[in-house]
Formats: sequence, C-alpha cells, structure tokens
Amino acid sequence: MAEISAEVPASRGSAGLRASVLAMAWRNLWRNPRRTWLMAGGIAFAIWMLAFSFALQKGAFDVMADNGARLWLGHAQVQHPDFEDEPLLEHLIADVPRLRRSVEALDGVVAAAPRAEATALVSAGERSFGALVVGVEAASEARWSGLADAVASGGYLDGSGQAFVGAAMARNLGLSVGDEMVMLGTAKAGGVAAAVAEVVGVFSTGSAGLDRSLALIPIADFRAAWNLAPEEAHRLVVVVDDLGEALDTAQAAAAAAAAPLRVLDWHALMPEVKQFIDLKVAGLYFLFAIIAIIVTFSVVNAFLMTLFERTAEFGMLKAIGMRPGGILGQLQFEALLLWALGAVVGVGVTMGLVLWLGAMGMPMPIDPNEVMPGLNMPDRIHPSMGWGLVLAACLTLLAGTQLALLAPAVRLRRLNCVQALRTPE
Amino acid sequence: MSDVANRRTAHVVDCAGVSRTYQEDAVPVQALRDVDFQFSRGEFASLSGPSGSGKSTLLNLIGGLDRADEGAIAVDGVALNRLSESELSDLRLRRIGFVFQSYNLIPVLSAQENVEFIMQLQGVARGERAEQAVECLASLGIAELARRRPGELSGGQQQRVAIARAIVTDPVLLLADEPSANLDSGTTEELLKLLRRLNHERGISILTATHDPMVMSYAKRRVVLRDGAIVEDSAH
Repeated sequence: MAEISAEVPASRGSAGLRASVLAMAWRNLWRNPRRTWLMAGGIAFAIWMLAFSFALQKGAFDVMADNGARLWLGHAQVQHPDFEDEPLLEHLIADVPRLRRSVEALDGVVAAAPRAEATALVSAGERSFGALVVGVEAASEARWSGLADAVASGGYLDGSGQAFVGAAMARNLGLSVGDEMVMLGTAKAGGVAAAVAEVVGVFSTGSAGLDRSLALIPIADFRAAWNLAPEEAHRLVVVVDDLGEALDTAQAAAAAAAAPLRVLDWHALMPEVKQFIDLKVAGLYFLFAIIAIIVTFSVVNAFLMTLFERTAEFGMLKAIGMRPGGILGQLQFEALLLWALGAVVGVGVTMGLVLWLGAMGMPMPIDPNEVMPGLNMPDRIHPSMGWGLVLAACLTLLAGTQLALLAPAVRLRRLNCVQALRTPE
Repeated sequence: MSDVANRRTAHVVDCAGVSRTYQEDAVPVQALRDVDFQFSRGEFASLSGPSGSGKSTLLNLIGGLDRADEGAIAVDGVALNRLSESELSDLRLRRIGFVFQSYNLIPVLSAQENVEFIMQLQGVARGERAEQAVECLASLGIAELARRRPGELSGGQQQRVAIARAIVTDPVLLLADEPSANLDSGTTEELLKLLRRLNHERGISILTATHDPMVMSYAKRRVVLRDGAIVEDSAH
C-alpha cells in the first residue's frame, strides 16, 4: 500500500488549507445566525457574569483591605523575627531610623512609622484594666492612620504626656478627655515601667478589640517609660499606594536592612479579612465552575445539533477524501470563532460597565458595617477589573467550547459515509 | 487478492466474489452475492435494477465508502480491502470522483470554491487551483456561475458544479449515484451529454447507478442487478 500513502499530499493540514477551513468555519457560523448569537451570547454572559462579579468583589475587597490596613495595622510591617510569635519587649528592631530611611526611599511607599508597644495595667481612679500601650509617632501617623480620624471626643495626640484611648476603655475606666491615666508595666531589663498621661482624645472604630484595649502615647514617652533606646522600636508600619505591592515593597526594605527582620503583609496582619476574601473568592470560583459547565453543555448540545443537521455534508466531505480529523478541525475552528465572538462581547461589556461604575461607584443598599462590623466594608463599591480572572474566565470557556467537541468528535469518527449521504440535507 | 491487485492495466475496477450483508433491524439482508465485475478504462457504464437490487451498494464498495464482507475489489490496481481508513480516504481523494444524487455541494462556498476545495485537500497551490477550477467550470459551460453559492443555483447547475468538483482532480474513475434523480428530463439530457462528452474527450471512466432509462441509454454498457447479483451485462 506504499503507493497510496506516498500520494498523500504533504500539504494536508497546511497553512493554506487551515486558512480556507477557517473561512469556511466563519461562514458556517452564520448559516444559523440566531443559534450563533445565542451560543456566543451564552459565552459572553458567562464571561461577563464571572468577570463583572469578580470586578465588583475585587473593588469591595480592595477598599476593605485598604481601609483595614489604613485604620491601624498598615499594609505591611517589618518586625524583629520573633516578635509576631512571641511579642516580648526585648524583641526589638535595633536601628529603626536606618530601616525607615531605606523603606521611605522605595517607590510606592506613602509612609513608614515606627511603633513600640507593651501590655500594661492602665488605671484611672479606683479602676484598672489591662491594655496594650503603643508608642506612636503622632505627626507621622496622623497623615494616614484611620484612628486619627476616628475621634469620638477630644483630639489626636499632638504633644508629650498625652494619651489617645479607645472608647470602650475610656468607658470601663470612667475616663473623659482631660482626665489622667496611669500606665504600669515591666520595662526593658526587668525594671518597672510607669507613665502618667492626660487623655486628649477618645476614638471609636467599631472594632471591639481596638476600642477596648488600645491606648496610644507618643513614642518618645514610651521609650522613656519602658527604657528603650531612641532608635529602638517593635514595628515599622509601612503604608503603600498599591495594595498588591505591599509585601514586595516591605521585603525589599527588609532585605536592605543589616539585621535579620521579618516582614508581614496585610494578609498576615489581618487574617480575618484575608479569610473573608478567600471565602468569597472560593464562592466565586464555585459559581465560575457551575457557569462554565452549563455553557459547555449548551455548546455540546449546539454542536451535536450542528452535526445532526449537517450529517450529509460531513458524509460528503468524508466521501471525497477529507479525513475525520480535518472535519473535526473545521468544527474546532467554528467553536474557536464562536468563543472569540462571545469573549469579545463579554469582555467588552464588562469593561464598559466596570469603567462606568468604577468612576461612578455603586452604592450598597445597606450599610455593610452594620451587618459585618470590623471588616471595614465600603458603603460604595467601585468595581475594579481583575484581568487575571477575565483571562481565566476566557480560557476556561475556551477549554469548555473545545471540550464540547469531544462528543461530536466521537460521532464524526464513527460516521458512516453511506448512511450520512442518505440523510436529507 | 494479489491476482486482482496486479491487474491494473486494463481494468480500472475489478471485483471478484464480492458479497455484502447488512443488518436491518437485526435481520440480515444480503445486498450483494458473490459478484464478479470488471470495468475497463474509458468505459461509460450504468448499474441499474430495482430498488434493493444492490446497485448503490456495489457503487459504494467500489468507491471505498463501504467494505465488502467477502471477495476482493481493486480500483486502479489497488486492493481496497488492504487499505486502512485513512488510506481509503486518500484513495478517494486522489483517484475517484463522486457525483451524488443530492449534489452535496458545500453551501457556504461559491461554485469555484467548491471546485477548489478538493484541490486544497490534495495540496494544489493556490494559483494553480484557481486556474484549474475556472477552466473546469468553463469547460462545463458554467464559468459565469463561479461566484454563486449553491443556494443561488438551479439543480442542473449544482449538478454541473458537482461534476466539475469530481473531475477537476483528473480521477481515474467517476462514480455517479443517481445523478439525474432530482433533475427534470431536459436538464438530465444536458447532463448526460456532458458526461458523454467527458467520457469521449477526456477518457474519464464513468460508472453510474441509476433507475433512469435515459441515463442507461447514454451509457455504452448496461449492467443490471437483481437481488444482489448481476443478471445482465451488455454493451450497446
């Protein structure tokens, strides 16, 4: 049989034939425009639904994470390697000014603020409660920290000997603006740390943990009372202009520092926010999978219908010498073009909506912070394109439309020319 | 089979002891019984007989669209039962032209594109393809229809395009299954004159299955089948 094999043209499947089959595939799509638009519409809808719902969620997640980070913890922190797991007073960054300079020199860094902290017994009159006393650089933090804007009464720190406390703590201790409070703790090297401060302001964040246990004092007062050196601190809080770059930025800073340091981004600093977002994203992926399966099955159905309607044509193609693989290739091109049509429409509509709503903002029907306090949800969502997911949505549906050809492929391979040619056209 | 396969000079088709049985609703139906049939180069023959006599089955077996249960078939010296599906596909592409009862043109391609398509499968270069297609359509008197799609053509015109598609690759054998079934008598006569001209002028071997007495009258040889066997084989 060498003679027949030798006659097989080298150009079967050549670029010219592929171009011709592609043109045929495009024309075939428009043999039944209504069905084509329905299928492409299904693909477009799936892409739009996935991409737009993710854009909406991403817009909310970004603001939520940013608001959360800007309230108190920052987008990233650089710490002593052991401080996060064992927050002892002795786990200090030895040379904070140097680290700060290198961090502030990085692109995208909005602010870098040192903090020193210790647990202490806070007393006012007869009442005492345990609290986390944090020494902050007030002028620097006031530029970005949400706490400075969450003043319930009085004002933010602006000088030595002052304290800024949470509303629940003030209530528990019976403190008001102008009252004095005493802080007692263990200083570095084992001595007693003691400080007296005048309450200049009370904050209310809605976060029970912060409002109940946090007391801010100037970092210089903290260092004096807890016996720290002027260049020592426990954390360098970093605020960046791009949420996604927080970890890289802080790591770059830590790498520049001489001592070994640990870097935590907002994922590690706000695990509850990260978990909430991950849960939502997992839900989206589940929705994504269901939609992709539904669309794939509708495409399978449409292609089986195509095969049924064009049985005589496929029989003829097989009869005149086109191999089943070639016929399947034509169907693959049809599926590819169908997907491309749906993807262009889907991505286009999504982009238009995201751009419009991104600028306008979409108001939330209810105040989300009443429903989920502490998650710093925005009251208006500005959708933001998540190109990674758009690409994933498009590629998943591409795979789905190509997978949808498996059933027609099996039927094509089994297609009997004689019976197929007898099928009415 | 080697004897059959080696006789590739005189006979373009050589069938020896060919049988084919179908299952219809689990009931075996013998469509062909031990058929011996030779068909020479340059012949124009009709296969006729009542419905179910086996003429289309024989045509399909010769065209490699179906496989015989028993016996051997050689086309242009090539034993079909030794070929794989893809080799059969290549044989059909290179050596056999098909004309179907329902024309079976590709509806989204113009007449010229339909004719060119088979050459594309063969790997003929673009320029040569277009030139040959136009020339072929012109030789069949339908050059002016080159840009029209099948839906814009009459039945007779579509069948001419189908013939152009079948002969443009210069096959050794043209198989036509009821080519006049959907045509009126005037158009059928025109078509038959065309086939006869192709047979005379280009020496194309034409084998057609038909019920139509007019087709039989144009063929030089008439083969009649009944109940799966050849009962008459006459030249006229």
